Amino acid sequence: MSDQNVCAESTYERLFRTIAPLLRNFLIFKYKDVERSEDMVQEAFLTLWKNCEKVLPEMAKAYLFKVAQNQMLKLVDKDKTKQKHIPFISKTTDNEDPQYHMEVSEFDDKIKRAIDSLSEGQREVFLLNRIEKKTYNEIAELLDVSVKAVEKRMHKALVKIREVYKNI
Amino acid sequence: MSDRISDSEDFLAKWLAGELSPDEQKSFENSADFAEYQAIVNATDRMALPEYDVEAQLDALKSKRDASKSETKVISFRPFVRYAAAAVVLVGISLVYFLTRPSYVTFETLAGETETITLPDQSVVVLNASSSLRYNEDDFAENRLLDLEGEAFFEVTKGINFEVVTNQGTIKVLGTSFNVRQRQKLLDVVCYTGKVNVYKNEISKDLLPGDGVRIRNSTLNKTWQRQLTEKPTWLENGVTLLEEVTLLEALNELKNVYGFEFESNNSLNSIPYDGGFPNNDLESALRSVLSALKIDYEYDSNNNKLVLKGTMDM
Repeated sequence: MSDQNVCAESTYERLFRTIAPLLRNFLIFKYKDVERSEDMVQEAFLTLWKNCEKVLPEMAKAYLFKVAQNQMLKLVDKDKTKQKHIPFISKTTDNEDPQYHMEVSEFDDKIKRAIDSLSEGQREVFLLNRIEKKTYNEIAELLDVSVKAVEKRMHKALVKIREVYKNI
Repeated sequence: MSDRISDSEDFLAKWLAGELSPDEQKSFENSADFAEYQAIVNATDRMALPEYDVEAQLDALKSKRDASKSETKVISFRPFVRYAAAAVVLVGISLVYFLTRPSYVTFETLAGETETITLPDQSVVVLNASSSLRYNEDDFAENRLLDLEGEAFFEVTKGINFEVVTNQGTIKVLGTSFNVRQRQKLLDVVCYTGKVNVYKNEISKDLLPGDGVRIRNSTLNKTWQRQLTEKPTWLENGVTLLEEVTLLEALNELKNVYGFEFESNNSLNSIPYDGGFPNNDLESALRSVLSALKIDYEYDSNNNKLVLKGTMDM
C-alpha cells in the first residue's frame, strides 16, 4: 500500500472516501460550522494534491487534519463573535409515543446546547468519542496529544455538560 | 460519589471506556450521579450530523483540482545545430555549478500575507507577514536546518536535530511547537509544547511550555513565563502583541503587516511601546499604536504612506 503514491488517482480517491467524512465531522465538532468545514475539507485535499509527491499515504490523515485546522483558524478569526451551534439531527427511534418523544427531544435539546457551550478542546474529544466512536488512543493520535490529555478533556466535558444543562 | 468525580481527572472517561474496576463500577452505578450521566450519554447517542455526500464532494473536489491545474506551456526547441557545441560547454559548466551548490527551497511572504508550509518531514510552519524561510533540500533528511528572517510558528514532528537559525540566535528543537519572531536586532522565542533550546554565542536557554526569551543585539534581554494559549495570538486571533519594544520596532511590525512606508527618526527609538494591534484593520491598528502614545499622524492611503506629526518630546 505504501508504494502507492498519493498522486495516483486511485490512492487519492481512496484517501478522500476514507478520510473526508471523518475530517468534515471533526471540523464541525470543533468549529460548529458545516459549510466552512466542508469547504475546508476540499481545501485541505487540494493542498494534499499539490504536495502529493511529498506526503506518504499513511501520513495523509495526520497531514490533512493539520492543514485543515490551520486554514480554519485563519477563517474563524474573522467572525469570532458570531454565535454558532452544531445542527445535530436526531436519529429516528422506534418509540412513537408522542409524550415520550416530546420529553426526550426537550432533554436532548438541552444536551445539544450544553455541548455547544463546551470548549473546542472538550467538544472535539467528546464528540469524536461519542458520535464517531473513536477510542481515546485514536483521538490522541488524530489531535497529536497524549491519551491522558484526551481522558481529562473527556471527563471535564461530561462534568461540564451536566452542570450546564441543569441551568437551561 | 460526587466527590469521587470532582476529585478525579478522568473517572468519567474511564467509565465510558469500561475501564473502571468492578468495585468502582458498582458503587458508581448505585450513586445518584450515575443516572444523570447515563442520560447524557444516551442523549448523545441519539444525535447525528447531517448527511455528507462523499461522492458529490469528491466530484466537486476533482473539478476544482483540475481547473486550478496550471496550463503547461509547450516550448518547442528548434535545432540550432551551430550553437550545440557552445551549449554543451555551457551545460557542463553549469552542471558543475549546480551539483556543488546546495539547492535551497525558499518561502517568502509579503506584507499582510501568511503562508502554511509543510516540510519534507511533515513538520508544519506558518510563516507570518514579511518573513522568509529557507532550507537545503538535499540534506534536510539528515540535518533539519532552517534559516528564518521574520516570524513563524513551528509544529515539529519527532525526529533528529531540528534547528532554526536567525541572525540573533539559533533555536534547537526536540519535537515540539514554538514561535520565533526575529525583526532587526530583536529575537523573541516562545515555547508552546515540548522543549527548545535557544543559543547565541555563550548564551544558552532551555525553554519549557510557556517560557519565553528575548535576545536583543546578541545579548540576553529578558525571560518570562506565562499561561499559554494553544497558538500565538497572530495566528489564533489575528492580533500582534508587542511587549517592551520601542515605538520604532512597533511601527516596523505594523509595516510588516500592512506594508506602508513611513519616515523614521531617532526619537522613535527612545519611545517605549507596550500593546497590540489587529492584523486586519489598518485604521484601528494605527489608532491603537499611535493614539495611545498621543502622537498625531496622517495616513496617505493613495501612496500608502504614514506621516508622523509632532512627535512627542522625549
